[in-house]
Amino acid sequence: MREEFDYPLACNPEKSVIVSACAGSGKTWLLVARMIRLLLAGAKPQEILALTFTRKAAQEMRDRLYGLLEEFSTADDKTLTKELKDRGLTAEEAQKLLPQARALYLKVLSSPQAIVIDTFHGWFGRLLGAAPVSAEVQPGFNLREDAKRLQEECMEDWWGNLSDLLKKHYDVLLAEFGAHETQKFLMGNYSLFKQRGAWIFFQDACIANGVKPIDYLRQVLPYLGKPNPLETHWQKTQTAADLDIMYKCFSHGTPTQQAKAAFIEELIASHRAGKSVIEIADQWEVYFLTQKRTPLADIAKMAVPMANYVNAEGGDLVRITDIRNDWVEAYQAFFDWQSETLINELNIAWFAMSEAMLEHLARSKESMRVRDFDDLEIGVSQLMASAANASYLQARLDAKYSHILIDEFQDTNPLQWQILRSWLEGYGDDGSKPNIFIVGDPKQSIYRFRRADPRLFESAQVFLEDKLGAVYLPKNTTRRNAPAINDAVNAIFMAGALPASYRYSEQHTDWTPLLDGLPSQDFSAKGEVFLLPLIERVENDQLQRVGTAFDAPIEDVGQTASDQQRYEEGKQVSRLIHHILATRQVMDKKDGKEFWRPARGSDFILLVKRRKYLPQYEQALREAVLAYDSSRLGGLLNTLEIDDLIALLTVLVSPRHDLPLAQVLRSPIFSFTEAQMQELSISISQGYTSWWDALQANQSPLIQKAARYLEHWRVLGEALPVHDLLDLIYHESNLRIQYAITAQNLARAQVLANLDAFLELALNQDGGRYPSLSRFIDEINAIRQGDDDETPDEGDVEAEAASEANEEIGEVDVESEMSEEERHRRVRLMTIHGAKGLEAPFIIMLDTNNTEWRPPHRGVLLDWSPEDASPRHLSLYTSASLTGERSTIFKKENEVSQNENWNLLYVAMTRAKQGLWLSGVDARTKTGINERSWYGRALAAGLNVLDVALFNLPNENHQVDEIQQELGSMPFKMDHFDIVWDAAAKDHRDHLAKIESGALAEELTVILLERAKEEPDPELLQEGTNFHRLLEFLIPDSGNQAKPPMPSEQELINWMSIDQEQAKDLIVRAKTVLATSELKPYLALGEWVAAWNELDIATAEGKGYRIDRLVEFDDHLAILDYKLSIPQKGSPLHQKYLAQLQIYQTQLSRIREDKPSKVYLVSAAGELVEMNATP
Amino acid sequence: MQSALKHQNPLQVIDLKFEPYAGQSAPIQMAVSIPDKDLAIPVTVSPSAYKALRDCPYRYYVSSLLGLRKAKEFEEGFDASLAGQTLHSLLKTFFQALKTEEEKSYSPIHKGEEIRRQWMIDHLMLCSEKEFERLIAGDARVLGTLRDWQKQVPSFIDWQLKREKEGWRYHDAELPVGFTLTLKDPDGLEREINIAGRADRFDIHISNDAAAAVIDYKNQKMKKIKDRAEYILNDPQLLIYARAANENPIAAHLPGRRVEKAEWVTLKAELDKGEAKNIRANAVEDMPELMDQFSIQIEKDLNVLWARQPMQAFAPNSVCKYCEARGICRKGMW
Repeated sequence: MREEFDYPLACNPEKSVIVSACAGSGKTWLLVARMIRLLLAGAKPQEILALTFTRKAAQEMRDRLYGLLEEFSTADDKTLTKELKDRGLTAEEAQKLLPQARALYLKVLSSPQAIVIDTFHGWFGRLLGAAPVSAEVQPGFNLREDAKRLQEECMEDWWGNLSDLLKKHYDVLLAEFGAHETQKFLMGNYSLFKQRGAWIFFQDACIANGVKPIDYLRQVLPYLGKPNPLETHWQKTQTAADLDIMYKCFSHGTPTQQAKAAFIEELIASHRAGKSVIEIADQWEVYFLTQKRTPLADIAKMAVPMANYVNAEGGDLVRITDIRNDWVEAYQAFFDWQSETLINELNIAWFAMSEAMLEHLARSKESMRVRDFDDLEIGVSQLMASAANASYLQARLDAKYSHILIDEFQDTNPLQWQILRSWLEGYGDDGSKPNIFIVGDPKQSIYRFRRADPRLFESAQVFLEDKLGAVYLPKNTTRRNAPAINDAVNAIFMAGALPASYRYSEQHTDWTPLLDGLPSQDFSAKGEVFLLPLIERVENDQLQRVGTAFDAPIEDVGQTASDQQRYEEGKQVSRLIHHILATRQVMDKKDGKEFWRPARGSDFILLVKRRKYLPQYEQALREAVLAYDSSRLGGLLNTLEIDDLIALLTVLVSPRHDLPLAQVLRSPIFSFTEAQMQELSISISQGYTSWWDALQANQSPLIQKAARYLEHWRVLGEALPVHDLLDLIYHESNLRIQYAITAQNLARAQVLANLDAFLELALNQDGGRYPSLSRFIDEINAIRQGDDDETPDEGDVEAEAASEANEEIGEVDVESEMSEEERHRRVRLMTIHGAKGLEAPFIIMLDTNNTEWRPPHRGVLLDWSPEDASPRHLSLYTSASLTGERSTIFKKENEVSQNENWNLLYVAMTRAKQGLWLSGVDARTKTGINERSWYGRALAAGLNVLDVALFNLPNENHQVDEIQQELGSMPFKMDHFDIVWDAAAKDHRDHLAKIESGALAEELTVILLERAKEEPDPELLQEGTNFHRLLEFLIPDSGNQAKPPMPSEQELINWMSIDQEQAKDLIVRAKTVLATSELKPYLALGEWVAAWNELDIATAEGKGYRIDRLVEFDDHLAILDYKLSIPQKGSPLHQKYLAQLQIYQTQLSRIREDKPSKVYLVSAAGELVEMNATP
Repeated sequence: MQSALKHQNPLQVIDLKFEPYAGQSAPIQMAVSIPDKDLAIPVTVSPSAYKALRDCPYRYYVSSLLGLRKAKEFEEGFDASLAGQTLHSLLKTFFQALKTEEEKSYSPIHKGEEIRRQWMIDHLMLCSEKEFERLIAGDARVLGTLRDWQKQVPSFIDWQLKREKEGWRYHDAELPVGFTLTLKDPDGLEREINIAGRADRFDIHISNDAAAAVIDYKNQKMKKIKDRAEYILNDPQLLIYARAANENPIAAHLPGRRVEKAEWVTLKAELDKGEAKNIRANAVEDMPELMDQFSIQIEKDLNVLWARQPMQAFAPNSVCKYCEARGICRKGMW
């Protein structure tokens, strides 16, 4: 049944509302509508808090809100009334509110405090920043976004001196799992590093109950510590008699059974002799159980000869069966007993190792003074564990939000929900409770690997209904999917294959075709959904290579049948794309006007569940002359062009690395020919130790030119920040154009976009600070290696997480670097996770016959219900060792994960607006169809298979000669900033000529020689900066009176990336300053009224200055400036410092007229010198 | 500044226009190199260099003719290559100790198979611990590699015992061996090319004093070894050792013997996947036939190489995966 969505209720600012809205139903629209209604109802901007998960989503929300408000400010009455009515107001209400609606834009813009639209992590950062001192949250930490790399860095030295006790634990794990899997349990996917939040709360719960984590596990291991059940059964008095009976029965059973009787006789003897059952347990087991440990069939259904014998003897058939079943039971109890003993041992070892590792991680991060997102989340959740803190923060931040809105609620994890809950509980019972608006879709929850839990949706619903009288509103109408697509979604999800706990109700669509210009075909009006025929599996027979190594390539051993299938699948899909491009129209919208236009590449998104076969699909697309963007791992940094640049930077740091140097010479930067390469190589044998030396000594003009550029950049590399250096190289080598010319036509845009993106990454790396060139290279290489670690068969989840982490790094959006025309050409190939939040006219789902969900064999067993403050169970498991209650937990967890596989299917299908195709390859089953795969489900739900003859048309598909042409020389155009101004162009040419002739290098040498004579300003060097940082860290001020002790050398080394010598010096300097009695009044606690470190002040014009330290006394203010050394009075440097301090003094007097100020220099030698203008 | 400007011509205002750049593309093509006559061709070819040539002539050109190889980092940590080296080295130590022990008439290893087996297991375990000790002290993760290997030990010893029953005895390990090919270069000059490498292990037969065998340990799974066996002519390491030993038995410490058997032995047998999967060794089939084919092939290959024929980068992608020459060959751009 189709229910109209209650917009007035959903947007009602008085009500708390939870909306569960299907894909494409306009969740963000609704959220923004609600914000507008809040503002119209008089809410102040700062009373509104809107939370979402990604910065991108937060930005989009902000853009939409401000865009809409701007439209409102100039809209005519009729339009504006309609807009307001759409957002749940009656006509009269809308009419009345027109003036207010128009004024909203100004009101929001002019408000001194803005609406808080933030990510969860951003908001957590604010909360931590305002935390009370008692909450043990130290300020001054850097947030690191690359958690995985941080973890590796921190744990690097841990394995160096492992205690014997830990080695024993390690051995327990190794014995069971082997090195590779053990590593996963300790450092990888199954490690507690991935479950830090759960672990912290689990530990807290353990401490509260006065038990150890292992005790929790033991509570659900009933066999633990009990005697061996098989032994117990063996020693029962009845057993001897039972064995006799069995012996007789077997002696008269089938021939096989008769052959087995002899062993029973031996057994009887052993029993009589009082031997243990353990020695014969394995051999005896096969009398009752199959290899898979299920009871033998002939126990329930006795073999005829044996039954005849028993009947003839007047025996009791049931009794025989009972005896055998008792053994079955004894064995099963025995297996459980074994499992539980083992799992107990494994967990003791795992807990011990993990605890030690987590402690080490925490310590390392402490000394490096960094935090990651998990720390942020855990920190806030611990902080908020008491409602008093929540109230404190609300007061402190002046942030008693009256309205809280949350988008994509299905992506929340238990910690985040707990934090929210505590925040809400921090509101008093004085009627000041806020209104909550939550919107999300449990069906689109696909972030279990980030611990998101769709069950929270229901839990939150119950909580909010209970506490705030919230209303639950389902929204099952999409605006995105054409009817055919919507029908297909309903058909698959309502075919009865869903797990019991999966909630799905029929969804409807409001999508209608634009009638104006509607193409006549049915698919334009209704949309289309098809399965593509599965690609056959052919075991490939390699052709034997002929001739010498020089005649023909080696056999392709790496190409498996599975790879081949995906390549063929890619070819079929490429043909489909060409067919669609040639025959379909797409409904588009520009400037508010809808229209039909021909389809183009960017109308397609090709979706995969796993990245494994992306190379095969890419190859097929390339060969079909389709431009594409692919989210292959390692993306940007592993492309050849960026590899060239990294090689170049490497050479500038260490010129005698031959291989990278050779790469740079061969790259389009210098385009060395094979002959030139050989010339250099030949010259090496004339006594040079490296290519660099041979290159610099070479006399041929072209080679010499390259040598001069490289030497020129090498010298600059010692002084310039990485980004500036690269920028200059791009310019001086005409890099973009060189690459554009040598690139293939299809690849050109991507190559250029990558080059631009790398430049941007160099700017953003390390948060925009200026790392040294070698450090930059190390970091880039570390990111690259991180990608290599992800072997393709490991969980894609891990890969997904890694790629997301990398996207965060530098936040480079390669696509945004391309021209619009280029972007329109390109088909997108991505994972379903990557496509979340996107939509496209045409969606092609790849490899869908290979999407069955399979339970994991081992990992972390975690039972954390949304209602609970901490996990009820946390342990390591292997599927073979699950018993009793733990099997139940396992099943429950698996159901959630199985549901997520359905969610992925849902998300993938609902991306499509006009057309959806599911493609795949034959599985290794008889029919080729995997019934539990998405393809199998779709087929069972009655989706039609497309006739491929339709699009195997030659005229739509590229011919070989066309492809050849694409590979050859062609005219091209590209965006490029070139200097048109003659004077500048000439200047540039002269400059290059000077580099190439070597004249510039000579000039530079002269300048450098002169400069070396002058005294450098030591304060500009890193040493000075570090001295400042350490003093700031150690010296108390009003904001932070309890300062930490002096860090150790090692801590300084980590923190400031300096060597031991430098760390020693630094400590001596800081200690000298702190110990000087003359300085005590200014630095130590006690005598001053107030003090500030690193105080920012601004001039009336807005120019900012930073004062190292300002100390307020009863009668004056003292401005302190830290210097490594104090220059001679009257020297230029002395005058420079004086001038600088006088500016501080002037600016300070503007804001603090009440007291006079004095200025001082403080040196690393502990001197205190007052600076006066008068001599 | 301002006064300086007054003396100059007044600045002109010029519109900056950004026009799209138009050009003619010249996409680079598949890498092919024809070695210059002055470019030295190495006169020594190791099994891995020959494999590189078979894999991709251009790769060989970059690594051996241009001499460009990745610089070994000062400290790269424990990796698969170091693990392999360590295992090879400890196996040599163990078998040398076994050989010495055999000489002692009172040794327990002569007191029946079960005692011999136990002695061998115990000693191999001990050798392993010793060889790994220093590495583990530096990085306890290496203990994992040791333990994985130690799980293999009993089954490895069983394989060795089975081999002994067939009459084979360990003879020598890590032995440098080689043979020489003579060919005429295009200038008519005679060139002596030395094909040389280090064989993992030679065994001799106790009852047939003309028989010897060569063994190569591989720290990889049987599946990979089977693939190797199928395309042995592209990676004829074992055949090279066999020919080297046969052409110069004295240098190979095998006087009077011929190597007519060769096998790969995995140090990573699949122990937990049932008897059928637990395979330790894979022998080269049709040795004599393959030896002939190999000899013809390598001679042809080297002749073409010395004739300085074009060297193309035409290998399939799977070969290029971890290729160090990528930046020189530039596959991916063409």
